[in-house]
Amino acid sequence: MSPARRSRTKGDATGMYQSAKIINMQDILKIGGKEITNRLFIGTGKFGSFQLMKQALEAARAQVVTVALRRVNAQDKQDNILEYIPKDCTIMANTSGARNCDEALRLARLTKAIGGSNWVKIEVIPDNKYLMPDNEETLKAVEILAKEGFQVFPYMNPDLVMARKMRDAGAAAIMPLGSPIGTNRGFKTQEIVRLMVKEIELPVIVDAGLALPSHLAECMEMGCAAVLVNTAVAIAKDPVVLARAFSYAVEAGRLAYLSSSGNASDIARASSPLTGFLHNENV
Amino acid sequence: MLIKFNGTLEEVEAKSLADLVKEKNINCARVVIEHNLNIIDKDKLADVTLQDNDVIEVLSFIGGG
Repeated sequence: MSPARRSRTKGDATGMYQSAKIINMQDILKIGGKEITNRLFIGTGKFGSFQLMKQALEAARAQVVTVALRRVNAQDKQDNILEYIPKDCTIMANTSGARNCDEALRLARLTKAIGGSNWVKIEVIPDNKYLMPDNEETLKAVEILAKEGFQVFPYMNPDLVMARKMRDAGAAAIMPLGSPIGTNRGFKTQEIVRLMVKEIELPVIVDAGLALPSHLAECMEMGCAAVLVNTAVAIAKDPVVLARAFSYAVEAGRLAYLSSSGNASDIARASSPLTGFLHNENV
Repeated sequence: MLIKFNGTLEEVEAKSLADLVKEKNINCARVVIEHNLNIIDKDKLADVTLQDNDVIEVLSFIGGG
């Protein structure tokens, strides 16, 4: 235990001891057959260099990263991205490029054949303008791939009915978008995601469009299991610093979710009694 | 042999998939190879004889969200 934690558990007040218990408690996300303690998942696209990407992943102490699958360029003597991803990271390959279920299936099976992980993020996007996922085609892919032994993570447009269907089809988690991919517009889908967190007994991982620590904290405060961020980190002025900031935000939001009573009130609640010195009567 | 390699029609010397990855200088460790829509095990590459108009895809991971 670090010195800071040791002094917190000295038991000077019951309240302090309880909060220390929560903070020290191993908050484990059991997902896709693994145990994850870092709820900030990071995408690997659009970084200025593999080296920079590696530094950002290390700064965030990422445990889960996403990758895509494309043709090798035989002329291009580029390093392989896997050399720059920390060895203990779980790779979640995505099916980006797929415009329908069949293409997603083909991509998923190809990613599994590279080896290393059976986690796949189903991304079925027929729309080039807003990159909106096709929930119906995604659902079809979830059902088939879950039966083939994949841990399936469907990227979807938030929809409670569809999320239930994906859960029933065997998804390992549900990944509703926060706002369209790469737009940095933030967490715009809170109202429906909140219902999904409440009603679906699966991890809910907000993915896409998140750009600020406050967006990530908001997702986590509401009870989301994790968040996935790519563009905001990759194109930041300083991806390494922002990745670290994001990891603090995810942790802060998660701790708040675990520890706060968080109920808003219309009526003010004074921090100290209003009587006891200047005024003897209750106002 | 006239094959489609990663979307491009080209003439290659290779007689088998194993020859082809050598000819193209491909590091097999990090790729997946698809031959006429079939995923081929890395240790079976020598068993796959190339025919004209075969469609071969060699893919690897890149950055993505």
